[in-house]
Amino acid sequence: MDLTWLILLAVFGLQNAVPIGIAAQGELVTEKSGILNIGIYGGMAIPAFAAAATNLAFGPTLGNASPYMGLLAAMATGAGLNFVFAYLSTKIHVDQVIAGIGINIFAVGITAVFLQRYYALDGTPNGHQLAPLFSITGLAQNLHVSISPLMATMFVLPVLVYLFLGRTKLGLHIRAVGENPKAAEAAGVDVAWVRITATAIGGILLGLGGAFLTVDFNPNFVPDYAQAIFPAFIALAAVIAGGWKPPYVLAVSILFGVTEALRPVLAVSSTQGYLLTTLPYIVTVVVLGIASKRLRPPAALALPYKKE
Amino acid sequence: MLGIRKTFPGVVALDGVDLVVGQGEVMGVLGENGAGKSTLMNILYGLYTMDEGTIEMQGKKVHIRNSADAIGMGLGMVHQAFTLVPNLTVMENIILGSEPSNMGVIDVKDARRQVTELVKQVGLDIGLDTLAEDLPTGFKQRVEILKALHRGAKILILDEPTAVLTPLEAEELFKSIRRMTKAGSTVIFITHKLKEVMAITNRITIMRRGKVVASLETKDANFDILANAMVGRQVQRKFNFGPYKPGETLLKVEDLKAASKHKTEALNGLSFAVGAGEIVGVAGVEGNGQTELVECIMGLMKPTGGTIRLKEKLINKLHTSEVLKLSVGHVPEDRALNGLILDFSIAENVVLGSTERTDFSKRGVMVPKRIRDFARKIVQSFSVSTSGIDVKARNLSGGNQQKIIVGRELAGQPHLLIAHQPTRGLDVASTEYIQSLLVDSRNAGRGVLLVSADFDEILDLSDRILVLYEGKFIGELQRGASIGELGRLLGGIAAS
Repeated sequence: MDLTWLILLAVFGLQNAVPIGIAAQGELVTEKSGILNIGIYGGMAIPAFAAAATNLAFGPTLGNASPYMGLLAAMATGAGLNFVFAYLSTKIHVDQVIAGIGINIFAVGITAVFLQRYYALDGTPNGHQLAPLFSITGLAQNLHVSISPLMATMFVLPVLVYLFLGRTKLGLHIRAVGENPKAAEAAGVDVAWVRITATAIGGILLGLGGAFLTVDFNPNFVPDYAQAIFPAFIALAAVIAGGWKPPYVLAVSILFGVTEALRPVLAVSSTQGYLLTTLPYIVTVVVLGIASKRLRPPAALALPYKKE
Repeated sequence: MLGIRKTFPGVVALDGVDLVVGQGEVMGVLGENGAGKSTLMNILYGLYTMDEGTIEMQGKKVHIRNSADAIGMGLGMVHQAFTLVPNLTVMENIILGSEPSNMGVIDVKDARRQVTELVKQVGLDIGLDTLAEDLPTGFKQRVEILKALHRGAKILILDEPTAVLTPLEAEELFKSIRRMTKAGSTVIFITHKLKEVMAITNRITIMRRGKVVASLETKDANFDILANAMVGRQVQRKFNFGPYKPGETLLKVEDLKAASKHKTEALNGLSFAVGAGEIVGVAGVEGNGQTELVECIMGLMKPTGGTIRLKEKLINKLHTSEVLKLSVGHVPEDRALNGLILDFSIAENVVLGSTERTDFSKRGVMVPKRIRDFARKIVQSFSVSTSGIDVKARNLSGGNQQKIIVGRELAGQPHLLIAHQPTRGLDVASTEYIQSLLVDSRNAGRGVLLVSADFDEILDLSDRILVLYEGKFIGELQRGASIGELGRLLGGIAAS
């Protein structure tokens, strides 16, 4: 029996999962502090653009190392953007949902403006692609699988996030303000700043996830908004379906990635193909439906906290 | 603390209060609701700022601007409502905000050692890895105490600490308090329970209406002195009572039991009856089961045992709307929360709960004209001062809000009226007006169940007084009972 399709499914599935998995760990950290970042699309798309642009700018001088500058730029942009979002919602008390939607719409606009001004409306040219960590051959005929450093990151992150939240002072404070901000405040924890920090840390990972799309998967930024919207909002769903637990969130991210890979891998004819395209969304709804019954989000999630 | 004065809009909460506490002693602060105990402690803990007065610690004048200042000076406070993070472990809760750590990483071993040592020292045994949310109430309090001690509290303020404890847990707490004071800590113990101040304190300060009325050594105190000092008496109001001729039994409650939110027994076998033409007062310091009692009768809460009958009809399992249809009027405890929808107009509020009345709606569509006429009638006959019936309830004074509720309930001509804290927070004129409405209802042959923590109100209005203490009726008094008698019962001392 030819199992090539299974291998392909795994390879493409894992590749699809990378932006979802990385962004989801970031969103998890943010949500643990009680901030619901609906602006996750903007938090990925703007850094994704920054990554592509930086990669292009450093390409002539740094060569194959320039994608790493792109990753750094994306992480910095993500952190900065999320810092602004968190500052607005904790210090200025802008509604989290409204601020988040604002950032998403802003992302669509700002990337278009920059594309038009500096590149072309249909996208940036190609830059250097992030070099794979290692390659695997011989799994199947003519199949050459490159393992990206970002894929490795996706697998390591849950462990780091778990240790960060469980073992560090800041991690404990994040969990406390996400669950009972009043109690945390009474214990001398600065609720607003802990939330801002957690959101900025989340932003670093959103940026990294976004950068995967523009320096690794494809080494350019194209204004195909659907391309970044899918991983962004699926990541948001993965945090919920994974019950705010890092390893489960990774597992759900991979499940979503694999579902997304079904159509191209099975290469079914057009009509069924379109049905398969909807599968990830249906799976999302079903998984969330089942999960939401027994899940317990951080008690103060999306609830603003105002000091008395 | 010397000469502390604190006013809230319209109220003098504290008026020149002095409190002197010596190191290593247990100071009892005794008083009924609204005496100012909690306000005083919140000032000490930096949650409120005082208008006048000074605070000195070990002879030096100190300024406490917020709770961080207070903690820094070695003060710790355990509130009635706990401030634990439910999904953190006991240990995480204890060290939160003062974690032993190394480059941001928590030193788990060191933390465990510190906490274990503390636990041994004060004898509050507890599993450190349990999640806070899984703890029974008594243990949550232990975590709070340990938390305060872990931050180096030398003076521990306990605000009504036994309110949520079983007698056995309370005994354990007392043991720990003794160990703490032996180790040099000072404890300020706030309570309204006479037995407890007698059992645990060295000295007692009694507060009433924002003033200290007595301060004495516990060994010189007895129940009578304390009860009289705690309750006191203001001017007696005169109402026009008709002769007391209770008629048919309207409400009959037998062996009623209910659990509270904390899963402890809130009501522990209550039996009583309310007849037509009488006011039955249920007195008690708040938190002794009053809320649960009213909610059980109104179908807002499921009793765990016993029966409630309304004119022989069993109403235990009825929905609130069905109870209301049986000619019951209900003035809820919290008018802003349960009595009115603040953002609705007066007209909308007066038909809440009676929109099913056929003259107010036809096939589900409301008839505005009838509703508006009805609202005008209520505004007029209950002298609500407002510019019109389209004014939002939010913009009315407390007294006028309450008149609307009482008016709405009395308009239904109920046989039984349940009034829960009907005059709390109202000015003198509104209070008297609402109280006179209750008396008129009684004279008109209605049964009135008055549940109140305002003891003047209870003594002035009730034909019979039932005193609720820890979910039980600890005694019954008749009209004309003395404050001393009531005070003893309120403090948990049954008549001998």
